Amino acid sequence: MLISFNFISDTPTFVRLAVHAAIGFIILSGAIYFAQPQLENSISFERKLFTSFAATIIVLIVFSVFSIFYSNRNVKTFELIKHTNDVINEAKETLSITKDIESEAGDM
Amino acid sequence: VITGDSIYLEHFTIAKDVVFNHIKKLKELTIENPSQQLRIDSLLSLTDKRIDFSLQSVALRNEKGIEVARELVATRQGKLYMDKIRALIADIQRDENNVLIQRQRENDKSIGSFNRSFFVFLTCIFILLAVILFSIRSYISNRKKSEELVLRQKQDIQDFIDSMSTLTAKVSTESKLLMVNKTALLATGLSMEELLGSNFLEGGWWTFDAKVHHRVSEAFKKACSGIPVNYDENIFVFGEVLTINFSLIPILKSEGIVDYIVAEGRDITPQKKVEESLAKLNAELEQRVKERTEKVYESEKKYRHLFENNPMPMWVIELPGFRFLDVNKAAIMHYGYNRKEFLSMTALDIRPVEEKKLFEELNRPAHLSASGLNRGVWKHLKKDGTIIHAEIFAHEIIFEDKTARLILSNDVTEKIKAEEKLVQSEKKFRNLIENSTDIISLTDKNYKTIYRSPSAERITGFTNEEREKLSETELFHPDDLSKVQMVMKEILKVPHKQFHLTYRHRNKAGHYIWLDGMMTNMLHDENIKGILFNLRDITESKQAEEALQKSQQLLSAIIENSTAVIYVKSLQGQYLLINRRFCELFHLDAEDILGKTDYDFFSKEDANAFRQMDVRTAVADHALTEEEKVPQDDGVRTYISVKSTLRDNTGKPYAIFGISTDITERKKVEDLLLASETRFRSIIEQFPYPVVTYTPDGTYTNANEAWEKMWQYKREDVKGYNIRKDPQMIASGLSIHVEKAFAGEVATSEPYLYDPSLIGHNSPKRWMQMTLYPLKNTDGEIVEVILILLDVTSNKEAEEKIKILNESLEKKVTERTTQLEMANKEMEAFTYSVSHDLRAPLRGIVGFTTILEEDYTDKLDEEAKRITTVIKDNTLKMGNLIDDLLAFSKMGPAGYY
Repeated sequence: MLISFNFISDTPTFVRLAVHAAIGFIILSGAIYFAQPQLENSISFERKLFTSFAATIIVLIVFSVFSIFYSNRNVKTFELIKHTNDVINEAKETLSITKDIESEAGDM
Repeated sequence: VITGDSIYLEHFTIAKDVVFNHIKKLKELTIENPSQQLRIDSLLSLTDKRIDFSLQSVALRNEKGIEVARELVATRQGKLYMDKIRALIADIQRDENNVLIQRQRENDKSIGSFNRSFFVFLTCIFILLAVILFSIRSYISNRKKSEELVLRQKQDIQDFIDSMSTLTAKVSTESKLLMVNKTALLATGLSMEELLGSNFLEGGWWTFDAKVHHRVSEAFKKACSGIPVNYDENIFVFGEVLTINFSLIPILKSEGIVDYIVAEGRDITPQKKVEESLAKLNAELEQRVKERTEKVYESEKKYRHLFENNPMPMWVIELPGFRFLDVNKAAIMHYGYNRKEFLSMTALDIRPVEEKKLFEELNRPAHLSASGLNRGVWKHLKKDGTIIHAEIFAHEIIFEDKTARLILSNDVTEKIKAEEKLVQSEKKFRNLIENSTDIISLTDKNYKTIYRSPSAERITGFTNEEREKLSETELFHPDDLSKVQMVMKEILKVPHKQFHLTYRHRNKAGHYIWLDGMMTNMLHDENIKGILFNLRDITESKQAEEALQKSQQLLSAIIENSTAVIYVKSLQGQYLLINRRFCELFHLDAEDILGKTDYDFFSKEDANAFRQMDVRTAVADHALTEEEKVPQDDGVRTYISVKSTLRDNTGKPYAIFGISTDITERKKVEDLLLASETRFRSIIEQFPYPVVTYTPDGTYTNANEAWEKMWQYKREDVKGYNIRKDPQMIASGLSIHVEKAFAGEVATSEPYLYDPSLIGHNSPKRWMQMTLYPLKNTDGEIVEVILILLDVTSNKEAEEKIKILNESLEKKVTERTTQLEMANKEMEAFTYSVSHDLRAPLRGIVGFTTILEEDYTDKLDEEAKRITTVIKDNTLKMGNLIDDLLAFSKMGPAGYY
């Protein structure tokens, strides 16, 4: 989530940096807290395994959400490009026909 | 248009129809872009106009021929439309191209973001999966190790239990045997398989009756409830009764529930037997100790009686720590602390602060062994705060199994106080003698010195040794020698006889000093056994006496020979002392005057006046100086009398002392001077010019009336003014004259403008000229400086007016001169021109006259010739005159002179 957020271009760079650093520190604090030997021993293996899988699933869900978001955005931008190309082509065609009108009418 | 053939208009016709469709589509596509919509609207209009123009030109070609159509085309309206259309389409394309670039950028960015996110997420998933994999692997590995460890520990425990000499079994709470050790197997003779699973309480591995069974069951139940049980049981095993120590230890689960019971059986039969024999032995020993203790108690009782009833204070202190372990009654009574207080204190607590440290120092183990029984005299603090001196005797003992010290304290305070008093008394008397200013010496009957106080050396300068070496003739003044020798001889005859003696004694410097004092024969006094000298140095008082005599003689001579009248009167006015001058003035002897008052010599009025001054003097605390008029043979004379009181030691006046000097002549001179001064002041006061007087330091003293009139303010108003410090004088440079006068010379200044407002007065400014005269006394010292001011304001004003007048006159002269110069110039020009003009006809006259003389000489008679000559001469003269006039005019005004 944090990394995805980092790639959203609309957010100002400094805000991204700040959020990134803040979340990084929170994760680091958590990691240091859970690195205590007595805590490490008190958490059972099954719990650790479950947590790891849960984290993986969450990452996959976040990834899926972002994939959908990016796909939609890409489709939209493709459509817009196509639309702009259509307008340019139409303008060219109009100019060509107008030239035809001018030449065919025999103006000098 | 060129050919007029309609076949060429085929494409035009198609294009005309199609173009609007394209424009319409373009409009639809750019419906969200308002600027493009505006452009397309313009394009639509222009295209329409362009088509109309083409149609118009085609129609004209068809109807009116090519020339007319050409003329329409030549208007270039069509080209204009076309150019605009091209520009519009170019704008639309540029705008769309920009949009396209922007959108392509966004698209690239979006794809890039997606790719990066995809990569990062993928990496995250891989990392997480790797972590999970690693965790699982690590867990499996750890688990394997743990299982191995548990198995090994289990084996170790089994080996340990097997090696134990006691019967050990693991029993479930349902009393089933779960495990037994090898000792149990050996003891029962059964195999492991036979024993495991059998009932612990019903097991056939020992034999017991119903009571034992009941006790074991109860113990097992108790152990099952979580309480460990340990008790001994006598059991019949293998044909003999054995004492077994049973231990049932419940092993709990983490939740506090009993998991299983560890049962342990120990054969303690031999141990029990030993214990029984030991108990027997102990009882015997106890009996013996009891007997011995009784004996010791008797002995202790005896000693305690000695300790308790000892009249000397005694106590026992513990070593180390000095804590009181016991005290006797005498100590309690003498020190004031009760037994409880004593036992709660240490030996340090009964020491004053200054001795605590010393006590600790001396009672260290190193010192203890070295010290004897007597530990010296110490200061002790009683409960009431008094400090006593106690002589301490100490002895090391063992008291109640502790190393202790028995202390005996003997109060020696009174003894010490008496000793101190004696020492102080001796010290005091010694100090008295040693610091005495008198010589105190003691000799034997041969006058050999036994003791000589330090003052003797201070006064005479001789040390004891030096004094002993000197003979009587060397020490005493020749005039006093026989007297001293006689006294020294006489005193030996009568015991306790005292002689007063004053004689001169030589000191080390060779001078004689006066000594006065007593000699006492104390040879028969057992404590002294000598002749006591008590002498005092009276040299200074002798010298003072002589000086006083001299002084009195001198004073008497002064009084007697003084030209002034000197007298001393009692407070009642009776003359106590008079000098010779007094007697001379009144032609009386001293005996006739002394004891009498002024009323006996003067009229009542005069005597009253004198008496009043005497009374004033008597009450005044200082000398009074007044003039007194005294009638004498040559008339009334003036005396200046200085009178003062004579006081006794208590400060109380007992007489009046007076000196009267005849100042009659001086008074006359003073009157004359006063008259002169008055005259002088009057002259100054009446002086027509302003006059001011100053002290030698420049301070204003007085001014006259003219001054007041001139400045229009009172002379008192300028009090404190100092001419030498007047800033106006200093600034205007006038202080040079001022200082000159104050240095002793007469000084006169230039006229100056003085502004009184600068020294705080409102008078108008005035032009002044000052003259300063220093007045000197007979010693040439300046006593006063007189300033005479001359008011030159009117002169100055007149001068100013003349100056202004002169300036206007000068101006007028300059103006007139200029005018004159101009007139002269004009005159010159006129003269010059007139001269020139006059010369021309004169030249004509001379010329024609010369012609007459030369050409008509024969035709002219003599008279005519003469007249011609006269004309010519006069004309030449006239010419010369004009030349001179010309020359004069050229000379100008400078040439007039």
